[in-house]
Amino acid sequence: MSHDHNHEHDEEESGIALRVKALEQILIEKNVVNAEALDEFVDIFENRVGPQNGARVVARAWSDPKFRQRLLDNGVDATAELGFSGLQGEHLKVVENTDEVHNVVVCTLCSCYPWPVLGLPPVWYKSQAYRSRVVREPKQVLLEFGITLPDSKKIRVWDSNADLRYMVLPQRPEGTEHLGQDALAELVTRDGMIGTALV
Amino acid sequence: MDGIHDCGGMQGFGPINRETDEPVFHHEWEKRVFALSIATSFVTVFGDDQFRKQIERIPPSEYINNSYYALWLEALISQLKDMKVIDDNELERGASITPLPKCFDISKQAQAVGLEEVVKGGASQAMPDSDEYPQRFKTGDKIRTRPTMSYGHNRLPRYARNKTGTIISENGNFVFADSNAEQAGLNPQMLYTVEFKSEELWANNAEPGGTVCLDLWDAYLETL
Repeated sequence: MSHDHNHEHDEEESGIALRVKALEQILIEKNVVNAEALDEFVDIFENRVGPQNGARVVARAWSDPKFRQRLLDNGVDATAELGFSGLQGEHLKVVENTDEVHNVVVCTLCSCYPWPVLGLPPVWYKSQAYRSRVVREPKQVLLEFGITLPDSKKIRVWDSNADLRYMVLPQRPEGTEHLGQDALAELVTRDGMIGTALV
Repeated sequence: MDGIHDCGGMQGFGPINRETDEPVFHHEWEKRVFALSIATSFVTVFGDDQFRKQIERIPPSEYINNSYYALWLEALISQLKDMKVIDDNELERGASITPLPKCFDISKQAQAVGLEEVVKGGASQAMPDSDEYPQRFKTGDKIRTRPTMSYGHNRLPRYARNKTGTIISENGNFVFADSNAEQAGLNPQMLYTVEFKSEELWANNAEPGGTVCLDLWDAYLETL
């Protein structure tokens, strides 16, 4: 992108910022919203909800076979045990990577994503490049993310196009038998729970 | 509708660009758009289905060239204009001029105190079983998806229309997005998860052996 384009972009964004301010002011005056609640919404999703939640779920599932089974049977109830629930996670389904199957999650129609366990999605997840390609050429996409899977492994893509939201339970890495849940949670990445990384 | 949003399987969008250490929001205004959109849904009928329909009405060139929260902003404004909550004159002045329509219940306004618990409660669109739309299929059934859809909102992606697949789970009754988005009733019905073989979806272009799973309402399916 050239410098001219950058400049134009900045002006556009200040235009947007003004438009948003105008809208907020109108909606406050009409009593539709109040500023303190808006601040709180932002704080919840910027600071309290995020992939650190999902990482704790994964670490627990790796350490506790009974919890793992509850998680696969009913993602909503099991994640609620750790205090995670709510908007965009009302019908959470956890899908498990195994030696036979690798799972990857997308929303081709918009940006559906399991907020309570992963937070808000990154820009690439919402991009048309990812959405268009991962349902058609998942193996190639995973290769670009740095994952090479053996030919024998089946790739199952979950296009979360309705009310269900999906989280991947990655395979526990070898050589981590000695680690406790806190240390295991440190290993788990956001992309691992989308299915675009192995852990 | 057959809009630009329905991009599964389209080609030519290029590499997937990822940002290292990406922040949750990139600009202050994005935070406000996010919060305004959710807070507005507390006081009137403005759920995901209506919101997505508004995003799909954005012209393709704008959809592609605008950032994610810029699209949210335009969708929110369109919805509020449709509901006669705001007009261009007010937006220009940044001040309320007209009264709020009766379809808004400000007693339900989102409040900062206790909001985290409210967010944790969610907003499920699951519905009880109903005789109105009896479940026609069961797990293990092979089905064909409907070949065409209406101009209105729907959640059956183009790439999965007129395709055969196998039902792998029954997830219960849910509000039907198509009719709900058009304010034409909830029409709750069974939502199935259907697995499609990649060869069925992408023919000679498929990566062999893979599958794609979609969550599909009863009305999207036909007996094979």
